[in-house]
Amino acid sequence: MDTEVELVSKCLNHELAAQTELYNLFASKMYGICLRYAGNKMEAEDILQNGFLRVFNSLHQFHFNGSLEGWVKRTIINAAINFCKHNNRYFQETDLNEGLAEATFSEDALSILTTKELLAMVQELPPGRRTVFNLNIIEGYDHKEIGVMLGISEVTSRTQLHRAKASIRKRLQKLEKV
Amino acid sequence: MIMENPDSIEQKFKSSFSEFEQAPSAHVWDNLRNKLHPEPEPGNLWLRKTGSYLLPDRQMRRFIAFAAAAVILALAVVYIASVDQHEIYGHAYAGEVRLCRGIAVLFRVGDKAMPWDTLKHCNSAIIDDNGFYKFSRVEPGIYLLRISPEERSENLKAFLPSWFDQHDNPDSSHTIIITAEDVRADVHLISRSETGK
Repeated sequence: MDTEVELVSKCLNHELAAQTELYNLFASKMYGICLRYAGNKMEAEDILQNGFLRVFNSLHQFHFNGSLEGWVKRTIINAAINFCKHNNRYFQETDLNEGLAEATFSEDALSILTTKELLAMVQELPPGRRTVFNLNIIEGYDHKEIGVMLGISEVTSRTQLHRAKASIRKRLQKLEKV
Repeated sequence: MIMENPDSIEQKFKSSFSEFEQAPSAHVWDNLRNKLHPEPEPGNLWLRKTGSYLLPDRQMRRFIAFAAAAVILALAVVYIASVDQHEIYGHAYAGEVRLCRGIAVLFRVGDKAMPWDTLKHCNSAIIDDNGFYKFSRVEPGIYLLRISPEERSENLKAFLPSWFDQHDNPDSSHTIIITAEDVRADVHLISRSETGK
């Protein structure tokens, strides 16, 4: 396999073989990310496709200051955010009070859940909550950074996260009852 | 066990998704590849036949296509320009035999009627050992032709430089008119003995 420098260089030279290699190298990981930000598989595939298109078109901006994977991941996440923005679905909450009530659940109910089931829970969240939840909990951005990325206030970001967690707790409680 | 600690949710999701990956459908790459390397239009099939798409660099392909178009355009211009050009050719005679070496000079006439007093030198040609001369790529117009034997030759002693087809000055000379065809113009030199010059 080529080194990252060679791979990037060949991709910049528009070589299909290198582009295929770069895609295959990161596609599965990035698709996993896209699935978390999307509402379903189709949306996730759209995000992945647009994200990689942006990766190949912006590769000249990668200066090897960090890992290639990290740069690709950030590009894909930006594509995911843009996808949500483009579809004008941010924070269009149908029920602002939904999920705000504190719900209790057992640790067992949480521990036995598979990644697939967790993914379904995330995908069920409204886009705004889902995005903030992903950026804060999984990616580790703080609310100030999220505010800048999404063009919202820090308070809104905190509120969205609180609601996201409340929704998940409520869902866990329901699962427990079943 | 009842728990209220929100960190357990964060930890569970974070640990579950930290290494989460899933292979996307094959069509994602197919679509992406088509966007990165668009298939040529059906009308451009010949490009594939000629192997242009085997070239690795898109800029190089563009350059070659542009260069080819430029060459074709240049050839077309040359062809169109040459369609409207003709030849004036013929033999020069010194008496009964062909003139051995000399110079043929072609003048373009600006007048539409005699006297021809707006002559402009157009071209010169060598007359070979067989008395043959030729002017190529002559544009349509009215021309006068002057034939001179080679300097210091025996022919120059015997014959005067003459205008087509046998005149000693341009005023009375016959014109050669080029329209849509090549013209053959034989010139007979004037004998000095006949004119006494």
